[in-house]
Amino acid sequence: MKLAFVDLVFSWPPLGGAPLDLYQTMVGLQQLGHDVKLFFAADNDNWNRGEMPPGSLPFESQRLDFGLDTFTPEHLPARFREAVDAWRPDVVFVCFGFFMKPYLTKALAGYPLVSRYYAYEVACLRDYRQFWKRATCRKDFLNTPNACRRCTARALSSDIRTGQINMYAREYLATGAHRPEYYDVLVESVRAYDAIIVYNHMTKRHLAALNSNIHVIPGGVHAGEFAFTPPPQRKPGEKKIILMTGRAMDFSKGLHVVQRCGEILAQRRDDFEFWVTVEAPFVKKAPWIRPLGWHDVSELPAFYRQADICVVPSVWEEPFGMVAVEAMATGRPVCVSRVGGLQEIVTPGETGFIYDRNDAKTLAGHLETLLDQPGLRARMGEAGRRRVEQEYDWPRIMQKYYPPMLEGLVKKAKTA
Amino acid sequence: MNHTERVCVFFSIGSDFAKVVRTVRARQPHSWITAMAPPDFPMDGIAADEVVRMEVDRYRPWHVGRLRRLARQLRAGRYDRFVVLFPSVKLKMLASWSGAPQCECWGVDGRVRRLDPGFWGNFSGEIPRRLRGFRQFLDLWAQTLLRPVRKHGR
Repeated sequence: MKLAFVDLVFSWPPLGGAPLDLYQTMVGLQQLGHDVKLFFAADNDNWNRGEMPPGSLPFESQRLDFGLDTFTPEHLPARFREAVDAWRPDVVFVCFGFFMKPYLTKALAGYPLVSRYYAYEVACLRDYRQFWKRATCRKDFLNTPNACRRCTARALSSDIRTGQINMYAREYLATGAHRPEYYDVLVESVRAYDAIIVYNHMTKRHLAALNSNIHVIPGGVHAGEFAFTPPPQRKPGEKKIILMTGRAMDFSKGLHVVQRCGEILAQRRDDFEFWVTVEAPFVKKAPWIRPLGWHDVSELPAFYRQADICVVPSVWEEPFGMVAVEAMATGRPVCVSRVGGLQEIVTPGETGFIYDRNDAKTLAGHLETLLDQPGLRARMGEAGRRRVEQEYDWPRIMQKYYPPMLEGLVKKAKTA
Repeated sequence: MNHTERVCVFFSIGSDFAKVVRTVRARQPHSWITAMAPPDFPMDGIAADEVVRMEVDRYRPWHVGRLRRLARQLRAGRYDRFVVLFPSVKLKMLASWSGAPQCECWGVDGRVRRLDPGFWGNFSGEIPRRLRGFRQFLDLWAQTLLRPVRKHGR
């Protein structure tokens, strides 16, 4: 089958989870015997969009160049349509695309279309995160469009007024996403997809009223890259390491919960140390916390191997939770907050613990249980590894989810 | 490129600073590079003998005295090239006060954008950009407040 992937934000090496997910999906589908081709936008007036050293992708790709005058809803979708038509795919995947995605979807009508949503793109125009004033936002663009438009305008105003417009704000204006008509374009685009792929059931429920063919497909790791390592053997008196990885300087990742939890634990014991991938200025100094600084993804397996326990204390509705999967792949028990897709990764009591977000006291209780029981840590670590091999290993994900979905699309197209 | 060229890379918060310092070092192997950052600011992967590290304190809000001290510190370095990570007004101002004949904004992706080392040259481009921005700002709020979405809900 010929599968075209269209992405408007792709760059390589990846700057986030979305391009990485797209890359792994395309490589996986190619290994399943499909012809895949990526059509991506490069914007010469914007940094990083479409940046890629030649020959860095193991599959066919086509770069379409745009500038300030041509990155518009009138020009861009037509160019992509032309390029896709020339390749004649059986199915088109519309991937990440900020505000231009609905227009692109409209232009690609006629092909079986699959959309991949990576966060809460349809619900939150401000930053796709539905996270506001340090809490999950209860509003969403489909139900409260005018409140969400005001919120987005407030958030982007200062940049726009000073003329220091970043890629996101510029696209917001260029696509007319601040105009009321954009609401209809977006809603119609969600309805138009033959299938939608999301990371978690919360997003599925959110979109279910507009589209009934929604697939929850998790992200994954290559289990081989995160080799299972038995838990470190600690000498008496040696501190056990509780690791928090990810973009910890971002409030939504919950470093403040770890700090409160550490204070609670420190009143009872001193046989632990939190290692956090964050710079020193972002951490309240304490003897039980060690800021590790920023680290490249390639350096993380070494930290997981040294750790005894991993925590993912996110306080926003994390769409997925790659760091939890990485920790489980290495064989570490994980304590995660009950949010978004994160809670779907951990089996409570088997591969780790789940606690209510912001509840540092309960987190401290779970960590004490794990600190006191090396046997439990080892058992949970092994169970986590098994779960990753069964559910989150890329080849397994590709085998399990994509063939049935593609067959369904082809059947539907034939019937139509 | 002169092998004795003195380059100053001024920090911005984030992992990009170390990346940019590494890129500058790679492109200018014979230059004398000073990385200006606050105490305990991480410089992962940069050997101490590759760059000179100078400490500045900039985690508190700007004020005139602090800025004057910083400008004096920069001028004392007699840099040939002053590198910042963002073309923000504050950093542009700092660049023009650094006294360096060449001021540049380096991106993580290796792109280099020249900044005018002169104070007025630096800011003359600001005026049309601000005017354009203000017009867009007015349109944004006019659309948002005066033209609501009428039919909504699923």
